Amino acid sequence: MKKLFFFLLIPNLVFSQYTFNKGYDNLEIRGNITTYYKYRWYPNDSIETNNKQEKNLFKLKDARIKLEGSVSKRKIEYEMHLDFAKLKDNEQPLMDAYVTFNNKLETTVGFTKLPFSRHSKTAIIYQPWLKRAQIIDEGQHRRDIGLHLSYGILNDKIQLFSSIVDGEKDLVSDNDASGNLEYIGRIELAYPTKMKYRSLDLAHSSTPIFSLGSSYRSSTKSETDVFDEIIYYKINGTKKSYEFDFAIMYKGFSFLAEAHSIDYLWENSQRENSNTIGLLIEGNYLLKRYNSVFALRYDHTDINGTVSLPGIQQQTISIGYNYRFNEHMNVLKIQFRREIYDGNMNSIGDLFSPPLNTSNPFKNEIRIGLQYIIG
Amino acid sequence: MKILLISFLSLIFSETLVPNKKIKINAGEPSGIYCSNGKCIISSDDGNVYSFNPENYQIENLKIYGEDFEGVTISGNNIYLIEERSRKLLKYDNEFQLLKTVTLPYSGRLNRGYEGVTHYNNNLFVITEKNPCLLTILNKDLQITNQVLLNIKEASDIIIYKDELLVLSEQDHCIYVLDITNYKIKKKFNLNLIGAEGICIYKNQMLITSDKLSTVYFFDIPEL
Repeated sequence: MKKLFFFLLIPNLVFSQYTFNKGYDNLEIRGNITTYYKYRWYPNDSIETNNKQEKNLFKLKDARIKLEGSVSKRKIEYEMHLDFAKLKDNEQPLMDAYVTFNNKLETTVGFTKLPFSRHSKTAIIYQPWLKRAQIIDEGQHRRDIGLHLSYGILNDKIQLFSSIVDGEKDLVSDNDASGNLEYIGRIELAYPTKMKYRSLDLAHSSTPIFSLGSSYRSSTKSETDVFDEIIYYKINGTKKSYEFDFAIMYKGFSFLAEAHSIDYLWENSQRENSNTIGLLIEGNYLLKRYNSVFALRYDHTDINGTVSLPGIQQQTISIGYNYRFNEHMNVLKIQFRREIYDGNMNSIGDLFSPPLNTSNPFKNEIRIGLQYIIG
Repeated sequence: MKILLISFLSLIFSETLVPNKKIKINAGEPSGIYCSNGKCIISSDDGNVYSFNPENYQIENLKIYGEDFEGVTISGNNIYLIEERSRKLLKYDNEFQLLKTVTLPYSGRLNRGYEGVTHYNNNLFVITEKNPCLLTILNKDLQITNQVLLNIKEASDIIIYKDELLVLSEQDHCIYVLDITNYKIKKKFNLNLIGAEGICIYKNQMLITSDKLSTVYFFDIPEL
């Protein structure tokens, strides 16, 4: 009986079905599970210090499943991507749900990532980190539902992107009474070839590859709650964002620099117009021989500053190490983060819970996680 | 023991090949290449097939449309094309009339499917990209006769030359030379190319295509 069980089971384990083909209709199943342990050293007067729910514990980061496919020789492509780990925070689990009509002009309809910032467009499984830079993680919503267009020139060395989205409230909780749309545009130039959205130079490019990108987004909303995020998501007025990024990859080294600026033009005359600025600089090296990645990132955020009140300054230094178990991107990730504050409190500082003791303005955290890719 | 030592040393101190010529071509994302009788067939990842003249570098779209042709080979009067995502091997006559289509099951990721096809002693050899690099051998009736997991990380094309199996690797930037009897790596030649996707030997030259740069590189044939 045991032998029978063995012979029935083994072929299924060895040739597990991750893709299905029906003529030129292809479907692929993928996913990833990422769990990490985080340990924090916070100042004694930090709000989080005594909050054991958020301190020194295991966390489920990702529990994702993705169905991705194409029909009619890739004339149409589609994706549905869910993250069940979001349910634990009472967030909706949908990551992507879209259909793309491939022509010279690629037309996508549905819910997906917005073409704003290279760091944002790069999936976390292709990054050496367990946590993104603050301006990306907390700056603005990164996905939305609507119409997304992209157009490539010269083998995609020049790429143009645009999106028109509406911030549907159940998906991105960014809708408002006005029902106004948000507009996003991006241009990307690369040489000598298109640069994929990856943080690591997996191919150890024998020739330097450069990418220069710039993005813009604008929305005018009304009557929304301001105080729901550290960096304002929703304002009663017009929000305009500008972004520039530069990336290079060469012989296992990769470098990315990004600058963000978000202008808040309030309709309410009692509030001053404000601005958030974000900067991130990241360098990584893939040491193929030892399946290892060494990573360093600096990010600086100047949050919600006005003419009369300075913004909250936060700097974060991250040091990362990855051990790549195999080519499946099954990776042990270690990320040490030090958040540094200037101790300069303003009237909205309590939203942010920075340490009150200006002589010790640090928060340290280490995350050790395992990223396992299914498929 | 001596052979093992030589193999090990040749892997450590592998030679880097330098192209003697490169030609930019208008062929989308050129992937597979096979040359014979004064012309080359180039298959493209965008689903097109081209005829390329290696002497005057003229190129012509043959108006054969697939999903993503990754590899091509010519055996006798037949042209074979392999598609990555749909796992299809297509057999044509020399006028590009489709004679037969077979689906070679492979349940890996869609973009990690078949990358190259070549022929040897009335057999066809096809290879998958990675996770794993699976070499599948088919007889003249296109029936699978053997499958071998190769001990390499990534493959982008395959040819057999002078009874040696040459596996081109885009990500490892090299050509692996494998013993065709036991599929063990004997030697490695380094390449400094972006997007090396197709390889073939023609006359006294080795041709390698780059899909990312839409270029054909010409090399002197290395000593195997």
